[in-house]
Amino acid sequence: MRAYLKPGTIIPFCSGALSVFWIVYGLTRHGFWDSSKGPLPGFVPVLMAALLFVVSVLGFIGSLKVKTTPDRLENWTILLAAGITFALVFLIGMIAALLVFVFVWLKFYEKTGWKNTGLILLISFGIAWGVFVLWLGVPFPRGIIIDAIAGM
Amino acid sequence: MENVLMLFGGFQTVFAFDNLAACLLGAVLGLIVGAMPGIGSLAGCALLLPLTYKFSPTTAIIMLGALYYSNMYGGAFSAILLNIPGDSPAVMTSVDGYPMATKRGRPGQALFVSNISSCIGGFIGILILTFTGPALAKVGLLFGPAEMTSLLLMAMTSVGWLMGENPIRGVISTLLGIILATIGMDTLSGSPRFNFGSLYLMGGIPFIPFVIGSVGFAQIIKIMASRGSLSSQLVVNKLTIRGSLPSLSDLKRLLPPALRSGVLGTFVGVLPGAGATTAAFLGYAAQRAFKSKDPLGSGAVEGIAACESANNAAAAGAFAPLLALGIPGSGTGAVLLGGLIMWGLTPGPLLFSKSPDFAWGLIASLYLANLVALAISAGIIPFLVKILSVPVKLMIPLITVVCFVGSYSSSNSMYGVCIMLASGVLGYILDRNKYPIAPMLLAFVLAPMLESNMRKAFIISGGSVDIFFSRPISLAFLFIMMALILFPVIKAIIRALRK
Repeated sequence: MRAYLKPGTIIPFCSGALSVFWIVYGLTRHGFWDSSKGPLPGFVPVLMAALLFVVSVLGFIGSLKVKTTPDRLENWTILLAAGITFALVFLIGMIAALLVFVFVWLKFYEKTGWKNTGLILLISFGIAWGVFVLWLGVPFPRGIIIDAIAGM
Repeated sequence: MENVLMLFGGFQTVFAFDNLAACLLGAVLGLIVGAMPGIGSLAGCALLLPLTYKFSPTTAIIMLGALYYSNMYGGAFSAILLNIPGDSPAVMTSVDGYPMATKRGRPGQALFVSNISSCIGGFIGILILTFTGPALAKVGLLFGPAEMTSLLLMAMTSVGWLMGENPIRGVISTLLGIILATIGMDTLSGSPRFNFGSLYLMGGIPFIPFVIGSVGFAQIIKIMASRGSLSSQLVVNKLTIRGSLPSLSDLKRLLPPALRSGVLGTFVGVLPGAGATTAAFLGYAAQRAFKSKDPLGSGAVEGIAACESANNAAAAGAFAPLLALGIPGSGTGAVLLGGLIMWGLTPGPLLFSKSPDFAWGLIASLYLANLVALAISAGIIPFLVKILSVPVKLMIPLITVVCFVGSYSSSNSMYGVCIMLASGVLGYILDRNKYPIAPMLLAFVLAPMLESNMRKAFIISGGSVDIFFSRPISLAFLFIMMALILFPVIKAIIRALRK
């Protein structure tokens, strides 16, 4: 898979577009200055967005000369896996979703042996449950399936 | 002399069995809490506060003080080994700590440099607190909105402008941080702003998931892009303290920045609201004015020493306004203040005379916590270093798990995880295009404080900018800021003219 993302000027372009949006939204919705009240909620955001626009233009001009190598889509596999895990949390809960992620990632993507997979699963469980649930009392979501089973 | 005698009295209080045990427990918990991304000293103190109901006030404050203090040590562990800062003051530590641990293959030395610098900075902070605490607190009160605005502008400019290869990229990164921080509630009126009708965005972007994503999760995507060339090829030191010890040259290099940042950090810690994070950033920015053997950002000993010393010194300095004036310097300070009130104590100038056991016991406990945290850290460094010898393919899911649970726990909501993933993508794209991440994080943390102070200053002055130039302290900071901006420009012009 050799699909590429186009980098280079994307950051100054996006930051410039964001700054224009922030200026317009800030001025129209939140206001800039009131003669009696002084600076309004939009004051600092608009001021900083105006500065960002200026430096984004400078950055955009500068980035035209810079050559960058394109990014491989394969690098983003982890984001896809994390996204699926995120969705899974709502179904089976945080801890179970993370354990499923660790298992699938190690066993099927990395093709790791059973011993290492088991060890990492154990450490992950120790951190998530032992430290965060047991010690710190963080109420991780249980997911609709576990909630349904518990409610039966 | 009187202060020394009072301090000895404080040590007698601390060495009572209950207090000593509380101090040790606080130090150990602080290390663990600091090393766990997403918890931090604020949550750590808040979680432990209910446990102190049955303690005497002195025992309780000793435990919480030791926890707050040693938390600064712990925050550096995950920042150096995993590039995931445990708390916001450790953000700058990862800039040089992680490259020193991975690219230079000296993780043990990086951790030792961090711990020794923390200890030096801490001692400077506590010494200054011991002898000038109440007076120092009054200096902090000289900083009004105009002075704070100028100080914060100077901090942001220096880090944004001077970090990385290209100043424009640093400034874009800084301003992006400020823009993102304006989402949520308006700092003065409390009205929703830039939330686009979302209830989640009304609360703003939570910092911990933001930092875990933009530094930690971005690091995982980066590792995916360069598999086989990072930690997996590292030759990790032997599992001994000796194998992880810094060389004499490292110690010589860390001493000057640690001493400088110790003094600077204490002063910053005293300022209302500035805290350990600002101190760490300023310490690092100040180091840029001095020589470093290796370039800052590439794993320089000086870089780690400057920010670690500053943040520990600031943690000590923050106790001056808290005890002498009842003004908390940070969120953690506010929790401690809540504790003081809960235990029936009134912080203020009379605290030192009315409750000397309490005030001096706390100060003495900070000395002890500093040593305890250093000793425990030194003992566990060889084991921590082993983390880097774990193959990258095993570390990827493990770090992802830490990112998920850390970002969830700070907000108790999947919104935190969502922010972590989004900021991970942002952090990776920025890093890949050589935009420094640290200025964005600094600006994100400091922007609410900057905005609040800037608007207050304008309200006080009736909209005139003269307020920033008519006050000497503010003017001095603005002058330094201009010098910092112009120095690289003039240097570049001179270099071009010579060619």
